[in-house]
Amino acid sequence: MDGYQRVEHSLKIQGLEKAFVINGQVHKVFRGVDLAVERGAFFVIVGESGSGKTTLLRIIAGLERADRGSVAVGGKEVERVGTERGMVFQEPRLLPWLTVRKNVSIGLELRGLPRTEIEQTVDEYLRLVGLGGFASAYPSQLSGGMAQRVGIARALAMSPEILLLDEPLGALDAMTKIRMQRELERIWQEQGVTMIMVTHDIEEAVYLADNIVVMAKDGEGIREVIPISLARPRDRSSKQFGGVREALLREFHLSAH
Amino acid sequence: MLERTPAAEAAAEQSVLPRLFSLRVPFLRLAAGGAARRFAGFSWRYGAILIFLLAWQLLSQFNIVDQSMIPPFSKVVAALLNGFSDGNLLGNMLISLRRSGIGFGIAVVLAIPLGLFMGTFQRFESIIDALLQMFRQTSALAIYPIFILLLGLGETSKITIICWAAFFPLLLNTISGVKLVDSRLIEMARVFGASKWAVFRRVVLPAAAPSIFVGLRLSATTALLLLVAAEMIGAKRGLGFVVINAQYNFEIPLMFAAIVLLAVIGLTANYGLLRLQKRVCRWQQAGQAKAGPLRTSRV
Repeated sequence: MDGYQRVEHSLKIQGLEKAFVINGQVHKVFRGVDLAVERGAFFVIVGESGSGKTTLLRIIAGLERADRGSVAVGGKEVERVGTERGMVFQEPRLLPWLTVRKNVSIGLELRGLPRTEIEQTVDEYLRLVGLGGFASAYPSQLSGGMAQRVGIARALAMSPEILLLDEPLGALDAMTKIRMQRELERIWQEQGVTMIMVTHDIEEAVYLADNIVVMAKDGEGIREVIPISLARPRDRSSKQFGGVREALLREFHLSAH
Repeated sequence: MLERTPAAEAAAEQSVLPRLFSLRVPFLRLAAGGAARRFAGFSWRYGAILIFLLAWQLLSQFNIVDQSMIPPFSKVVAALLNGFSDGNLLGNMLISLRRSGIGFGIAVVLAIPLGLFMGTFQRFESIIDALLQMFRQTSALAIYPIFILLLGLGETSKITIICWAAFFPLLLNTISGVKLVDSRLIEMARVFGASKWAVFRRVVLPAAAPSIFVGLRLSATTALLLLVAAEMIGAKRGLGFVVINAQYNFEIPLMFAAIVLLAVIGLTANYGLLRLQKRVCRWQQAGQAKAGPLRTSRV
């Protein structure tokens, strides 16, 4: 990457504000959210439940609208859903009647690309996520981790400007989770795609993030953005890793009282 | 860039292999030397029927039950063969098949599109739901005299009543199939650039297909039920007429022959629709339990 691209922002959020009205009562989700994410960065958003981290991600995705403020992806204002923003959901959300290959193809088919190009792209991304041999399997034949890999391949196949990940590993068992975190890191390094991930797992955040965005409870928005400069691949058992994790945990204990 | 493929990592994922194998079992059974096992399943399934028929035969043959009321099964088979060779049963069967086929066919053509529409546009559904429930809860047979009054005693009134009765199970199952589509899948499709029409075609329709098939099978059963009733009330031909007429004339073996024939038609229709469902919804066999008769009891 040259210097010009380094300062270019994949995502720029300004003055974002969101409230829900439940039974006539206004509940502030967050306000005054400003965030700038450089191209190729890995941002992880953490926060207690109710801090609005998932809502923030859904607004970036265009699935929900903000009350105030703006979101720009690749320099263009976000109005609604768009395929320059890839998304990986907590549940894999695969179509059970389609094979793995067809599931990964869906966005490319909707884009109207020629068949041979789709096949090529799908093969490439299935290999990337380590599922080259499972193209003709059905989702019901896959384990949770494999299904999530399909979800990641499906999103990456669209060559998005940013990849939004909504607790993508939240439903996996501990061992699979650690393996998938390594996978995600490798994919991010190989593809150079900007990633914005929401998680409630502090260790996961410290392992993956360039920057950890801590969301405040009670609708105050972003409390702070913490750069993580540990060298990769990160060693979970190292002193430095533990130090960062402890500091973050303490942060949450303080915020709870 | 893509050199370092982590196939080994994926393979290492613990739960993968056992899962694949356990799910492959049904395929293996069909593919490899499962013929014997399949036969075993077959014999258990149909053994009960054979025992029933055998008991029927023996109880009647030794006059433990009154032979004149319940003739031995062999006599019923003889009457069946006889009825086919002299063309009596065959002709009546063809007439019955025509009536129920047309009635069912019209119901299908009307109910599936309307059901898809109502499931998609739920405001429309909520408006006419009460009316539909009223129609549905009114016994079709009770309405039959109205149709006779309006349409006469000919084919039209019979086909109409069959169509009417077959319409509702299919419509309601189609609506619920569309309404119960996982909204998260729809959201996913939108994120990947699907228009409303693409969402309908690629997500809603395939997701609703199993439920539509349940409706089809219920409707086929209903069509046959109404066929017999309509033919018993106001017909001079057809299998339902044969049953009631044979009873009047005390041709008991012929009566049983017509009943057996109706049962066979019902089973065949259901089997055909199941086969069609397995072809259309092939994905269901991979993971989900087969959409067998269990699901019909839901409605």
